[in-house]
Amino acid sequence: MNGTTATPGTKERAIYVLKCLIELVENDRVRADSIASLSSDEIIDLAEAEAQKAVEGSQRLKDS
Amino acid sequence: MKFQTIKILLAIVAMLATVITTACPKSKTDALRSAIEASYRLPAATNDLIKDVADARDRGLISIEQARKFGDALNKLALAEVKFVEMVKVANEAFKISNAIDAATQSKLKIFFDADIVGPFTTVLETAKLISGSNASLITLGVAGVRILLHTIAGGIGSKASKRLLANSGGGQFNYFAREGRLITI
Repeated sequence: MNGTTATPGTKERAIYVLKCLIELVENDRVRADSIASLSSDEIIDLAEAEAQKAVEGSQRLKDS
Repeated sequence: MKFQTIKILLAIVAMLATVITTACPKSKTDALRSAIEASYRLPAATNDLIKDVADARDRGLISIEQARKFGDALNKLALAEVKFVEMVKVANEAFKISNAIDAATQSKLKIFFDADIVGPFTTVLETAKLISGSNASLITLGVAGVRILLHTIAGGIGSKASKRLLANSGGGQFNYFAREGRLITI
């Protein structure tokens, strides 16, 4: 394996994966931060509303 | 670029993925708190994924049949999340008082989570794997977003089986990132 030249683009793909992971964590952190400013009742209300939206949205997908 | 260097780079990425999914060792209380917070964020992440699938369908990247299959699994997941948020709400009331939840409540959460949340999500994972690489990119991050939260919840409520499944399904951790149509497995 030593000295074998890597497939062109492999390094770029690895860097892309790293960027995606960082973006994912960052998006999650931003979401977490926005929740941090809410009261626990507000957070629960938000979760319940999102859950209801998810039921409706997924039903539309199912029926497409 | 030497293959050895690429291997090191990929190892760093894999380590980062592992750190993100397992995080630093947490106390049981912290893990449970994280799980409760993740439970509240889960429906929003599921909504993001539903939008990604609808978008992919509208752009012709996935077939209507594939979209329906996703829809079926995501609908089961969404319906379960409505109940799960309710269950977590009740558990959280106890947690706020004593920083713990009783064994019976934890067991109910685990059983429901494993069967009704992780079960349908496994179908989502399997459906996503069948999409040809070039068309998967819109959906892959959405799937990963839900997966991270489920992994956190599994860890906090003590569902080791689900945690292992979510960390390792698909033959590798975080095999959901694509560039120019090629899924990358780490």
